[in-house]
Amino acid sequence: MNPDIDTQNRPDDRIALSPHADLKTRKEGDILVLPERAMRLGGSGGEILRLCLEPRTADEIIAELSQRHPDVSDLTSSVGAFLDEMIELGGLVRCSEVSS
Amino acid sequence: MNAAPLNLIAELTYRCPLQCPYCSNPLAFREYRESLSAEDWGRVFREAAELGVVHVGLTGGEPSTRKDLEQILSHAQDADLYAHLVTAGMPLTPDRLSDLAALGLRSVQVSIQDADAEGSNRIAGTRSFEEKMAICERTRSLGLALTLNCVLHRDNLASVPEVIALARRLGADRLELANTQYHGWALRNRAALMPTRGQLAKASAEVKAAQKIPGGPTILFVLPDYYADRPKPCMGGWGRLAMVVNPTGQVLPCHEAGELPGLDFWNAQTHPLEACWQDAPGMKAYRGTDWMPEPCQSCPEREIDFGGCRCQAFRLLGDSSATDPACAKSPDHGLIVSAREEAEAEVDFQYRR
Repeated sequence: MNPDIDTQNRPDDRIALSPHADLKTRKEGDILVLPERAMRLGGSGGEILRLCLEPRTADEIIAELSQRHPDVSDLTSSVGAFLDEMIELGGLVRCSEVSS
Repeated sequence: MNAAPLNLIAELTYRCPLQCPYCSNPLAFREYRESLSAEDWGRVFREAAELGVVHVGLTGGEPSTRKDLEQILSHAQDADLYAHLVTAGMPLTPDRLSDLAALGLRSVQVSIQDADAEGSNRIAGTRSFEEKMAICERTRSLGLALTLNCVLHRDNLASVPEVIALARRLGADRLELANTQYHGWALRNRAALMPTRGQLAKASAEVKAAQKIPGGPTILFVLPDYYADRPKPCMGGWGRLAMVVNPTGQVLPCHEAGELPGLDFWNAQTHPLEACWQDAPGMKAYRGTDWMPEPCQSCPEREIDFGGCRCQAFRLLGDSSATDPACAKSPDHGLIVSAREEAEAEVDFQYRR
């Protein structure tokens, strides 16, 4: 997991949906849309990204999901890996890196 | 039931002020009637969204030659589609782009033909570079996502470092360096466009070095089929992820498939879009893997490349159901090898006119 988003709840560690990304819902489920790309979100991908419509830290997202799904174990590593993957894809951005 | 497509490629027109010798539009593009009004496109967009489409590329030809582009874009917005504009940068103006952004446009791809005005204008056959730069700058200042696209070939491959530097200067989010695929006008100009292996290797190394530098655009480098051992999964597979609606309303798996003889595609003006996608015999012809001949049928990679490009098989072999000759396993791969050898000759462009 990326230490940048897995450690302390510092305000500048918040992440959010990229200004160029959209979350859309169709009959087959949630889809992340980016410029010239779109990908279906399996499992709870849509739920996680929806939490990122407002800037939050990774810890806040994991805490919220843990509250919603108390029976799911190992949320920290699986959600952390998903957030990292989304940052890599450009669907999520670190608020500290968003210029202007 | 086939999965729903995610992307609609809306070819609004084949008109374009540029005359690029690698254009993939049909050779007889003047014979195609532009028959969909803005309202017709609106209906196509609504039906597409119902089918599962989330992203629409407004393209052509040059979409800004349409006076009703604003209405078309508004319909895309009303249908809850992510609207992306693919433009040559003219006759679009920065102020018109601002109006389109206000109507909901999210991202813009601007094509350049080389890294500077002299090279770009020469390849485009039209003075257009300054206009393209103005559109790129306005795209950025509007906060829209910017993709810079440069189709590569032997005449501009040496400019790859300068194209990358330009993309960085412009603040592009993505840079597409796509080597020419040989369809339409590009096939006619193949001998003049085909790079040498040495040119490609040099450009490829330059791209790899640039990709390691943080902070710049995401750089995509698409190798030409002719220099790969395996074909590309053309359009992600025939009738699988993306749907093309051409200026006449014909619904296609790719922008060129309408030229393949013997395939019956349906028109969005006369059939529901879902039927055009699911049931048209042409759409079903090469979907999935059942249609494949050997060596594709028993190939472990058949669901990776989906048999490559049907149009390429037809253009080179006269048989759209044959294994794409770009694949080294194809019995006809020698055609590709000999085309690479032609790259040593000096040949002039024939401009799209």
